[in-house]
Amino acid sequence: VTIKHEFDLLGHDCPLGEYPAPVTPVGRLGDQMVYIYVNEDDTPHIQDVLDDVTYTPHNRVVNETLAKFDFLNDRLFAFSADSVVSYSAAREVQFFESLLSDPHFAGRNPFIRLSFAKRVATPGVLLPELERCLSYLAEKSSDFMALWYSKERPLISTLLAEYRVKLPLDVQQFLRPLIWDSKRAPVLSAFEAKVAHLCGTLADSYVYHTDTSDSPYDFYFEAPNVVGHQFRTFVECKATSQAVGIDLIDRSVETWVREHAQDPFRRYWIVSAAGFTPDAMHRAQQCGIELLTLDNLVSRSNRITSPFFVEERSAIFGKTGKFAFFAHRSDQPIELLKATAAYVDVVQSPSVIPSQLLVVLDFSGWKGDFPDLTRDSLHSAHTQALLRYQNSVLKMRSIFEANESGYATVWRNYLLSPECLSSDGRENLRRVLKWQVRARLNVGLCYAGGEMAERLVTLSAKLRRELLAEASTGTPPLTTRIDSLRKETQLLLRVASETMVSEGNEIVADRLITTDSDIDDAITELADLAA
Amino acid sequence: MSHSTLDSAISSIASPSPLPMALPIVHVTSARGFRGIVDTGALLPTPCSVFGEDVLYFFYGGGFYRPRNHQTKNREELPVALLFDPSLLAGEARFYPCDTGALGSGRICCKAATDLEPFRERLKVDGHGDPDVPCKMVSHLFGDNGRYLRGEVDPDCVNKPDPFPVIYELLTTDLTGSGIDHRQSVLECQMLTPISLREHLLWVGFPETLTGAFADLYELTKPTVPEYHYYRAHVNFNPAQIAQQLQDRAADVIRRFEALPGSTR
Repeated sequence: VTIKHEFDLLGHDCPLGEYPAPVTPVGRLGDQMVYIYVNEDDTPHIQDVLDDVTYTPHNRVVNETLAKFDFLNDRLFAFSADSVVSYSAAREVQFFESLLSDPHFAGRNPFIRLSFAKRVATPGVLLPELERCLSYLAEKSSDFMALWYSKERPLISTLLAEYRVKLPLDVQQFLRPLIWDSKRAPVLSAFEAKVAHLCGTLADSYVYHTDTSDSPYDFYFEAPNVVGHQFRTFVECKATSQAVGIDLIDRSVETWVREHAQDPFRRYWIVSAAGFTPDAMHRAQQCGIELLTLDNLVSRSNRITSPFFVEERSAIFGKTGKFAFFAHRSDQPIELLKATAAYVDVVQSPSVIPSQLLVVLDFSGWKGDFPDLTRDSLHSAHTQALLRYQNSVLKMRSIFEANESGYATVWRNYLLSPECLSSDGRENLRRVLKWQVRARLNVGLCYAGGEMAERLVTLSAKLRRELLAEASTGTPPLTTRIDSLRKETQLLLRVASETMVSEGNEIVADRLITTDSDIDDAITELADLAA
Repeated sequence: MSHSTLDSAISSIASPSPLPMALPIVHVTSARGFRGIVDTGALLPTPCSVFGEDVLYFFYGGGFYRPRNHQTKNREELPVALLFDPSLLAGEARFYPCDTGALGSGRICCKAATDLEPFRERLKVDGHGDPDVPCKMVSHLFGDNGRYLRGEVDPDCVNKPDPFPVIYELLTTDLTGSGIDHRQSVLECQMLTPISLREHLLWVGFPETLTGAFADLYELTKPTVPEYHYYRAHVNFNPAQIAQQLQDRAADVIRRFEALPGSTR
């Protein structure tokens, strides 16, 4: 403590010679001018300055900002010579995450971003930065890119070992543009998954599969997409034309909605409309999609860790009934996609999990070129979205595993508690059933995987249809439904619990649904119970 | 009183055959100057207060880790190391058997240092474009490359002509009190003309955040591209530890030369 009070921070040195960069605190410790470096064991290293001292002095504003700088526990980062911030060494990972959440940060030097991402060391943060560096090197030196990747691959695999991320041997697999099948328009990219993996074995391979067969899995992204049809991009246009090298056919959002009316997931679309007129939003509304216009949500999407944001998104989705329609306006479609990528991160939480993300790019008012919008950039934006999603799933998993009593147990107790079933609690319960249970179920899907997951999807779809049909008739007397819903919820939770048993959780399930017949039996049983 | 020079002393005695293999030389600069060097495509001599002229410094055999006796303030800089093929020694160069920066700054306070004055002349060995010159210095001062790289001075130096005995004394005197360790016994190579990066470059060590600059260097040096090693730079690590790390990695490259048979001329 004595030493701390004797240190007088005078400025910083930027050994890299360019900003933004981590910078070295320079100051006076007692009578000695010193630099404060970091030892490899993460402890501070106080370096006496023997010769002439050269450093960038801090102006009054910076000095005031850094008045509480603790040279033993804090570090400095400079955005420019006159824009310097300190952060706690103990919270370095969080600080780097916050920097990286800004896609424009250190845009000219992706390797600074990568060095921070390596410190964070999660797939959702690190892999996009790896791809960003590869894209950068692809333009500068494709030879070096291949060499560099061959050295980075094992290193990054090690950093992500706990996530079992498997990077492709061939660097081109990172950069390969998504193959666009114009016959499948208007779906620009449909990342289908076989839902065949337990969460723990998600990361079979970080590759796009581009097989040209007619199977529904032509294009799928195995690793992060644990729930089928999770992501789609819909390009709307009013006439056949070509945009960004993609042949478009005459399709509208109404057509899309109509054609997917039987899709069990469609109620939970998140629709993001970019474009130049509000037309697409209004027409989507006319199709029954509830409108949610939150332009500011995107602008704040980097603040996903703030408590404010958690509350806000809960409120938003708590009010949302049939569809969530997320609108964002931008003259730059690629910005929209980036924003959407961030948005995916926002909506992926244990309390809010959309079953499907539908990104609508509204080209109906399109005039002129979009120099930034290319197939590669779309591909890149999608990749980021998917990786963020994967990261969210992994976070969810860790939340479950960290909860000693088990998430399912908590919710089971809550749902069956007298306060939840009281008249005052009905509205809460209704919301819980509509959102939390669905969320829980979807997380259960992440664990269940494979055939099991698909059956659960069917079951949950039935539940949702019941709820929504009821909601569409006005304000229903939920009392008559509540018991059966409660029972069904119990059943779903048992199923989810069962999947958790397989993950080593100690929650005991007394029932396991494994076949279609089991599902039918369960529904029958529920119907009997309700009767 | 006139003293003989190291150059004349080496010429006066027979050199063993084969000579030790010529080793790579390393230039250490600061990270902040790396992009400029790549943009220039060459290393340029810089003003030197010890010699009063523009000089480009290299360490023969790569022993560049010098925590306190470096002649510049580079110990407070994040280092970038460039390792060059010994073929570069075929250019004009001059050699010294020790760190002239430490001698010139007066930080080496011992009788041997005093006896070697004027060290700029007495210790200088002209290269004359002959790559064997540093090999001969290694042979006479250390015996072989292995001993040189381990900093083991040959005790037989005391039986050789002046100034070998005094150099032996200097290189074996315990100077740790002055913050100078055995790595003082690294041959210094000086060049007075720019050195292109397009040729001879074997290996580069740099901070990870400057990978983009290295990509440019890679393109510049094609098809004879250098190997590389980067160190983590998400924070500014202790430069001495980084320098040690770079030296260790450079040593992996240098060892390939150490084991090769030397010249039989």
